[in-house]
Amino acid sequence: MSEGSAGESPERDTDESRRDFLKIAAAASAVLAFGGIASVMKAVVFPSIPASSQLSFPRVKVIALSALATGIPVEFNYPLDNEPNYVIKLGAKSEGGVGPDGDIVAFSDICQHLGCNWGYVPPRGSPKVNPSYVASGPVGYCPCHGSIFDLTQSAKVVGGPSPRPVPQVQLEVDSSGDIYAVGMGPPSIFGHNTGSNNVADDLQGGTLVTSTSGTS
Amino acid sequence: MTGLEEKEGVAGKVAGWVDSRLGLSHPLLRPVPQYALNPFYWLGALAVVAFVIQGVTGMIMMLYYVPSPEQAYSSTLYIFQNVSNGRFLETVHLYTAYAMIMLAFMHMMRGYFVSVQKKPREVMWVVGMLMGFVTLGFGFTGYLLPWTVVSYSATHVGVGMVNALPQPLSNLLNFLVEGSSGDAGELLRFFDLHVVILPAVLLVLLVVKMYMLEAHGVADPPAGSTVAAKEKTIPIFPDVTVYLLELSLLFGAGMLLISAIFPLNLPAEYSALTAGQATPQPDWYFLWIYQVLKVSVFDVGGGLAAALSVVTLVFVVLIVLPFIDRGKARAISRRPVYITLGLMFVGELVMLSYWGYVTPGATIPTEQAALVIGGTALLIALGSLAAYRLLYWRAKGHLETVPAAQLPHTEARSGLAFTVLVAAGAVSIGTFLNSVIGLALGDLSAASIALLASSGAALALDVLASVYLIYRLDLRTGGIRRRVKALEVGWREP
Amino acid sequence: MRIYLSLQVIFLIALQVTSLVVLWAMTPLTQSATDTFALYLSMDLVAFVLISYIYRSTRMSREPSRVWMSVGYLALVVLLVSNLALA
Repeated sequence: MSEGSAGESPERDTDESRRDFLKIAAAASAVLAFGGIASVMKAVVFPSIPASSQLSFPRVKVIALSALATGIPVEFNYPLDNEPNYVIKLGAKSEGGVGPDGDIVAFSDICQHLGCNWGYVPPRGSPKVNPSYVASGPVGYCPCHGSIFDLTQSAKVVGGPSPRPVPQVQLEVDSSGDIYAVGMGPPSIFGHNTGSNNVADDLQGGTLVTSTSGTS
Repeated sequence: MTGLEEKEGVAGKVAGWVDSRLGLSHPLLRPVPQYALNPFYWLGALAVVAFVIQGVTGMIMMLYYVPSPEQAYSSTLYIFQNVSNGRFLETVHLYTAYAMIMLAFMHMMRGYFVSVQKKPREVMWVVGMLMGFVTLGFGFTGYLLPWTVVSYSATHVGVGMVNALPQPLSNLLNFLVEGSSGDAGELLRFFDLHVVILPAVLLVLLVVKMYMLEAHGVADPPAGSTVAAKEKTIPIFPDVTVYLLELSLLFGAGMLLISAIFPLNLPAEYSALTAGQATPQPDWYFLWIYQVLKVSVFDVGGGLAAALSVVTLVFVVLIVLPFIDRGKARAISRRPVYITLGLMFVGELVMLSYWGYVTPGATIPTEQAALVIGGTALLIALGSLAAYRLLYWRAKGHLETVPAAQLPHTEARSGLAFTVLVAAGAVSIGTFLNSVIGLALGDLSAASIALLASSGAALALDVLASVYLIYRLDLRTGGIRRRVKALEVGWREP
Repeated sequence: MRIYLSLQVIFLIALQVTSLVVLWAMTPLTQSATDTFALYLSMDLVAFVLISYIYRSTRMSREPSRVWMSVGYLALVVLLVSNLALA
């Protein structure tokens, strides 16, 4: 720049060395800044699978034992606030059932075929859309294409086109007689990476419930 | 600068070696005038920086993403859940996409208000508009890729509209987006466009624009610059490079922080039935187009084509703007009509976008649309012209100057009057905005229209009274005019 | 002021080195770890912006404006405090 003017020599020198220092510092700083950005790549180039997923299933009260009558399903949202499920006291001991008789089960209300909401059919009952079918035990019947789920065997598919059973809600009863939903079994709920066996997929796609009140 | 190899000291020697091998200080790009070291001159550069960030985050995600309808969502979910920093990457990618679109828009509007598109930069403007369309195309194609409920339904509204566009645009766009067959072909087309074709087109356009920038140099500030200002130049390396690095890294840090504070949640996967339950809404930068389409006058057969022609017309006008606005004047004070039109454009875009956001899926009655759109335009026009009157247009004749002894009295009185006017203004603005929003949400009763009209009249009266008061104050003391002169010049004395 | 400038630059470089070490040593697996990562990277970048601003101003023979320097330092303090608040 403006070198060689008739200024005092020592001041010029300190000026020059200061400018040199700043030049090195700026270059070093740039290298450090880009080094920081590069560390993002490091996380990607050497990926590590996270030990546990970041969200976990909430524990929410569904309904009190005393409020549940045999054969009357109660709807509740779990684990997201836009996912309907049914909790039913079946009256017969069932797989995954809780409660003193082991007959209280809950399942996702979304059919695994194409996402319709299925309805509960009691033993010897018939669904409104298909009066010719008579259920031998408590089943879920989907009105869209006729998928039938045996609710005593963890919603095993016993008829219709559904490729998988609907996921079962994991329930717990605590000492004061309240039923809690604590998780979901596989497969994942319809619409959450449909067909996957990774239940963590159920936690994406909406807001987790914090409390729930049963509605009939 | 030149001759770095001769410098003394370790720094000088290293710098000299680097420079002589890399040719960093070789004058490839012309030096930049000092007044251009101002962030407003670098909005376009920041949009390019955003594009680079998109490229980097996009390339990383591309290693995991699979563009087939069966695996699109699950591969995106895999990035969210199983890739280190995956959710962070996705969040950065989305927010930087929004930033890129916003920066490109701000760059365009700044250019318009400072009228850079006049001779000799008309072609630069056209190329810039094309780059803007490519940027919107990035947003449109990228939105579909995660294959969620919202992205699929929104994209399909858009794709369906392609058929209603005027020919030959419709044929061309149809060819681009419809692939071999159905969903799979379409997703693959969108992916190819998003990842290869559009970036290549953008880069070519960028090179062309940069070449023209080199040829013409940075535009003068609107009030014109003296030769002295232009000669105070800064070399590209290292000063301007360092400045650009500063801006870019500051922008990058901002995007990082926002992405960390507001991480994304992936919406649910698309399926034929769940999609029917969600109202399709395009992403925010298309909401204004969507709102125009929702007006009931377009509900007839052929109405969609008419609506799209309106939107296309807006874009065409934007492209050929330099050839419409042929005046030589560049200073803001000498372009009242075009500045007002520009402000109206921005105001309408913002208003339509917000309105579209609060009325998903609703049809807008034509009278309501006319009222709201016309009302916004009128308000903005009035405000802008009032500002011009206040700031730039000289009064014919003048008031006597207040003698110094009386100045405190006059000022106290004016202050009181001004306070009253501001209070009344606040009340009338509040009522007016309330009734506008009520109208926009569908309440079209006689009472609400009467409220709108009366609060609008009160507001207009208040604005006029305030403007007149300030005008009288300014004539007596000349304070505002003195200060505003400085805004136009655009560079500071060193 | 100019002596202090050199000291400031040294301090900022030290801050950058610290951030860099932390960034490369971390493996962010949870959301809060990602937050910490982002905060350290932002500190790194803001420190660079401050240094380059000093460098640029000195080259143009201008004092770096006190206002902008204070804004930069304030930003660093905010980032640092958020980091501590997170941990």
